[in-house]
Amino acid sequence: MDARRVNILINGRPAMALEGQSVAAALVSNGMRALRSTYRKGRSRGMFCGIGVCFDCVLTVDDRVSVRACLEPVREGMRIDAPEADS
Amino acid sequence: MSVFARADIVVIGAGPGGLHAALAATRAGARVIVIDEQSQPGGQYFKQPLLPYGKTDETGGQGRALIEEARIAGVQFMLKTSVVGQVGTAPITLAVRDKNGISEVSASSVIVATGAYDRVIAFPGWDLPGVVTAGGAQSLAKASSTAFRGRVVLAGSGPFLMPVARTLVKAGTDLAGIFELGRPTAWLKHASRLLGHPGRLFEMAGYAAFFLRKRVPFHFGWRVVRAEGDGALERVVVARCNNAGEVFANTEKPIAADVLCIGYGFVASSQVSAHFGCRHRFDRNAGGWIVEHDDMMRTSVPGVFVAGEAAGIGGMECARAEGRIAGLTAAGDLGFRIAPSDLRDAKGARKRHRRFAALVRDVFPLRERLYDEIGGEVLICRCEEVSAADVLAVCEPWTRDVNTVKAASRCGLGRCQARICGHHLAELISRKTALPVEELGLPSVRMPLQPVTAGEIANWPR
Repeated sequence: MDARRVNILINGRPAMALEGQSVAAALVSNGMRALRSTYRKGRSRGMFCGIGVCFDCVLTVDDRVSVRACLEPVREGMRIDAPEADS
Repeated sequence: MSVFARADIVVIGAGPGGLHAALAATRAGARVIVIDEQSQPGGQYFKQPLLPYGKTDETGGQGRALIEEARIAGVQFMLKTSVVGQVGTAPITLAVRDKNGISEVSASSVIVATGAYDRVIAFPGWDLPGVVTAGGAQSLAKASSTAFRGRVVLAGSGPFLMPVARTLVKAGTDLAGIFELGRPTAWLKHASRLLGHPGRLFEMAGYAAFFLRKRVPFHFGWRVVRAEGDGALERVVVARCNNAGEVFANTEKPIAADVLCIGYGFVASSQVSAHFGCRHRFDRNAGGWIVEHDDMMRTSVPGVFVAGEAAGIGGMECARAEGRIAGLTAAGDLGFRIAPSDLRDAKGARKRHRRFAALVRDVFPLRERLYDEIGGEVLICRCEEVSAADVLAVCEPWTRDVNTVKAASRCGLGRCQARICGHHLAELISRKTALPVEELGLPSVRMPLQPVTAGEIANWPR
């Protein structure tokens, strides 16, 4: 069964994901490695552990803060806020 | 709105250990709830695609069958649910959190099957976007059917590199190279013991054949010394080393890469068991702090059992056997009928598989040198951005434990609650104070075990 296309918004811009991808996977597919920057020194971070342990991939998803992108499955119309991500 | 659920047995973790524990207990007649943070059961080893009925590989297929068996037997799953902490003792009551907020689950017994996660030993540049764990690479492929873009380097040490390598190759990844710190010649020392596990040898031969056929660029006796890049990974610098990880002079080689997947074995997930007050012992090669237990998998806390990696890294087969022992014993304790032969079989299997796990530890020892070499400027606590120098600066001659250093340096006080930096903290302090890690104690664990919002706490009736 082929995965269906899912339309999501990354920083307000329409982007494509596939049903069954985590938010982190969708961002990787869209060519993004840096997802956010750290609060003390402003250093770029991306997905690290990929399994929900390290909290480096936290983003705001549908207005919910600190969502671990590596655990969250994408959904049609999902809004992902990653203001410090690379494009 | 708060929900109060009641079961005979609560299993924390839906990986191989938790699934087998739940299945064994349910079949004996107990009412079992399994709690897991992930969207699907299976843990890491049996990671399922997020897409229901999505394509799996052979292992994923085995996992799917096991999960189906558990569901059919009547196991209840609370998925996308985190354990917040223990709030009651008789019965054992846990606060849990899901998308609806905080609720409570009570049971007569709890089986801790929290598994493990990748051990990455800090090196310069490990915090660059593009550096991921070996397990993260595996998860991206298995759960999301997604391949990394660009050039990928896989490195580290341990048997886990092999399945990750196969996953990456099958996903069509542009693999620049695989760098395993150890050498096959060092494995020959253990050849006679390996012969005692023909099934495993067959498995290894399968990997070797696959890698030869696909011409996978495996390099033995090489390790990562640093990652470099401006804002994100651009280069991985590797160097030749001996079996202890000591780098040979003038052998550094920069390799252009977009992604570095790295891992040096695993760290046992001990937050939940520490929170329950279980006694642990420290075994650096077996996952660090691991839960002490008897041969029925009972911990030092009445009503709390452990199974799988949390009791010492040992892979799926150990988790399966121990899950069965814990599930059968917990059910038996509550008066449910269990077959003594099932218990006997599980104990026999456990002994065999733990023996193999010990062999694997000898073949792939943790190279302490990698901790020795962590320079002052290297980041130790990713969450709070604390360097090795920052940690050592607060180590006094009278420092005796990790928790005071945690409090003074902020290392371990961030979102991941010392899961990633904890082993670094202990190893650094141990080297500075000359006290063995076992004397420094576990990092203290406080509720909430996973982050919750203030609103969720406010809406929790208790």
